[in-house]
Amino acid sequence: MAEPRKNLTTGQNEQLMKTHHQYKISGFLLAVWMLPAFLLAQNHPDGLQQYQEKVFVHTDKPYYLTGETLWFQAYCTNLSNGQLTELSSVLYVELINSNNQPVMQLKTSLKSGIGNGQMLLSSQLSTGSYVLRAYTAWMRNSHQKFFYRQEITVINPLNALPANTNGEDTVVKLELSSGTETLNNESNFKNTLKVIINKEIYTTREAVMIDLVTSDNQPDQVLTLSVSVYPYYQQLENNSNNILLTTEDPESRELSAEQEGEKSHYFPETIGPIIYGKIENREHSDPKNHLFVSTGGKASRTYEVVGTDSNNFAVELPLGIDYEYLYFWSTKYTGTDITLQDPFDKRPPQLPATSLQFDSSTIEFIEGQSVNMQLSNLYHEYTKIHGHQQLKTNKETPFYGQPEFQYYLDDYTRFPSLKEVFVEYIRYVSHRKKGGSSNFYVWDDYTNSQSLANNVFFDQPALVMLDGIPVHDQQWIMNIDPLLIESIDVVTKKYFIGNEVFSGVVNLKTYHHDLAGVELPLSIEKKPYKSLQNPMEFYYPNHGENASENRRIPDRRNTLYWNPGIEITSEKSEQLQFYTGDTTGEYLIVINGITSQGTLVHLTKKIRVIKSNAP
Amino acid sequence: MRKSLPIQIFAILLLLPFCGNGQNNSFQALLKDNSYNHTTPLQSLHFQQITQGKEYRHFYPNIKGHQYWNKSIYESGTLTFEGVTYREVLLNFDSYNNLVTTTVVQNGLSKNIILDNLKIDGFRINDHNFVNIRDSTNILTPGIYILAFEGPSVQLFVNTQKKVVGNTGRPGEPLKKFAVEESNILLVDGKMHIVKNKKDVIEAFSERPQLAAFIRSSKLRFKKNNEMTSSLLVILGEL
Repeated sequence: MAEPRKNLTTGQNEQLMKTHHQYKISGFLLAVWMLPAFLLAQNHPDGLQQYQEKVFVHTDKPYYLTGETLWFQAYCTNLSNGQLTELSSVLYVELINSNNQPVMQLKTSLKSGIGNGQMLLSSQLSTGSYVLRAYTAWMRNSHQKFFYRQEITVINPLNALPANTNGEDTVVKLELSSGTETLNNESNFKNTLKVIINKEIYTTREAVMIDLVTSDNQPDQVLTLSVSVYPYYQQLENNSNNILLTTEDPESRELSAEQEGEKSHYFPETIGPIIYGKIENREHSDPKNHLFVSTGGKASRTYEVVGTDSNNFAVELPLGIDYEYLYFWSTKYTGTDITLQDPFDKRPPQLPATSLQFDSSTIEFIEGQSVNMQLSNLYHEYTKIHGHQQLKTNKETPFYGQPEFQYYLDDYTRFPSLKEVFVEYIRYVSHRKKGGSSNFYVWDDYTNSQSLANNVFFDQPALVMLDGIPVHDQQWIMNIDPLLIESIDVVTKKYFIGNEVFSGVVNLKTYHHDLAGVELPLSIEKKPYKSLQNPMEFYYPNHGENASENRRIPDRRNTLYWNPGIEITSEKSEQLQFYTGDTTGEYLIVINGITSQGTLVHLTKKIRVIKSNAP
Repeated sequence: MRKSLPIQIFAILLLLPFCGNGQNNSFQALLKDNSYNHTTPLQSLHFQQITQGKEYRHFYPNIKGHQYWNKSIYESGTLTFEGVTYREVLLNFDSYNNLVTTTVVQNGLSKNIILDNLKIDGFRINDHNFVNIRDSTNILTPGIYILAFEGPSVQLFVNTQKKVVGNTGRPGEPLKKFAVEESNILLVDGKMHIVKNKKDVIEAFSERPQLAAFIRSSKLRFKKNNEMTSSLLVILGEL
């Protein structure tokens, strides 16, 4: 039963009690009426369990030198109908060496089944066969045969290349893809995609034009494509960059993660990445209750963690915000010990031991590629080699939205202590002692506006935060140097998070939303966190417009063109245009894609670049 | 509002157990989740973003009518919040305070919360599409509008707002009442036209003589708010 409030009149208290009583009744009725919903909800895991995702990754080429950037586009489909899926919003991508050790790991976002990104291959990598592995969290519940795996040859030109004196290459083909379809060019896709290339032989620095047209008459049919153009060298080729060869092995349907000793307990990441963790706390019977996580920063978010079993919990973070740390805190207890789970799959891909050996002509080709890379590094800025940041609109609103009151302290005379700031300026927050402890109490917006009473403050303390990170130690707050604080947000309404209700919010914000070097109290557990990758944009020069300007600067790009996420429909074709560089030889155009109905598209076309006679 | 609380709760209870029947291929259909009761961790995680917020407690016992755009009960709808679409969410739009609210169950009690306007992209309730214009550079003034018609070059937005007006003067009656104030905004080839009468409509389509002639010759009525919107929809159907 609600206690009568001292600051209300008898009539108001009666009304408050009545409302409280109504809520109690509604809670009971709700529980009774929700029973059918509970029973329905029991059925959902079966439907969801059968939802199997499949990933294909198109990389810009099948072989790389260390120091180069690997560009990729991922397609995530629903295995049952082959269509792009909206289930998962996060893709995990790893590069794994022949010792089954991941050497690079990243997370990238998926939007309607499509995602892209890049990996800058470290010069520390040694020459060898690597596996590019990609999966969603939901796929981790399955046998790893469902994961996407592609062989990538990485060559470190700074080390001596393994030469084969027999004169033959022994580039081992791992044949990780298990498809049955064969590579077949245009005839298979003439009804889906028509590719028109203006020439087959180009001179250096000449424009290449590729028209992509779909002859599918259905207006709502969208064809999503990725296109790469790279130097073709047969001995370094493999068939892995072919979306058709990722057909699922029928045997793998019978396999489960359990057969590999894995517990399948991963939720689909429909909104954003889900963080899994474990909590140890000897003082509390169910420590995950009342445990919260905050992200801090300008667009700070706060969630109550969701208990999964005994001491394990999960929490899902939204996309579009970069976090460096996660801050765990509790409203009920201190002294937690939280361990966060590695978001990447631990199962080794179990690759066969391989060794690469190259014949003299392959070594010559690789050396040529290496010289190209070095010249590019010498003559071009970083963003023209490894791409530049795409314009992105990060979320900027804190979890509580627009506060009712916002105080910019630079608008007032500065005081030496926060206590004075609150007393002198922040009239909607009262710092007072109650029940033996000092707390912040916020003005009660509704009670003041809907009753005759005025200047009524909540009788419970507010949620007080520094840059979006809740701090319960009021004395600690008061000791912060006020000159570090740019503004104070005050929310004068009750705020609900999970099973907790807070009587208003007070957020002290530093100038850069980065705590300004203030060390948080020990009751808050700070964990480093790696956000999702922000995809870069591939750069290619325009030798038409800037011909005279660029004439003396060598253009020795190895990958001539990379364009992920092209969309065409029956009403919207696409013309791609890029320029050849200064390196002559054969190049391969590779196009992979998928229609909205799930038809896969793969086309390749060779072009030749010869030396220009122009002076 | 005090009197309507039991009715509201009753309506919510009626809706909750059965509103998960619209099956489609989406994950949410697979979830069969129609509630905020968070019976499973998966459901709790999925709805985490829209089950937190400021308390919604706008009651107007001394004003006749209600502040909501249509009904005073929560209806099952679709909400797009920070780019993510949630289906079968209990929603209502308080067009007097320009607030979108939902209802959550916390510790066994139902609570009404405000969904942050800065994060709402749009929502659909009762077959009406609402869009939230947040960008101040947009041709439309920021706010929540009903998108009544959307064509490649023409859109019809309806700004529906509740206002508190006068008093009845009769003894025993509430002194004030809520009244709807609607305005129709036509976007034709990127140009905004606030249309209040037939003349405004003809002017909005001045560059489309055939359509303008059709409007002139038609017996469509434009005087009242509801007449205006339905007549405009007839005209736009001719496009």
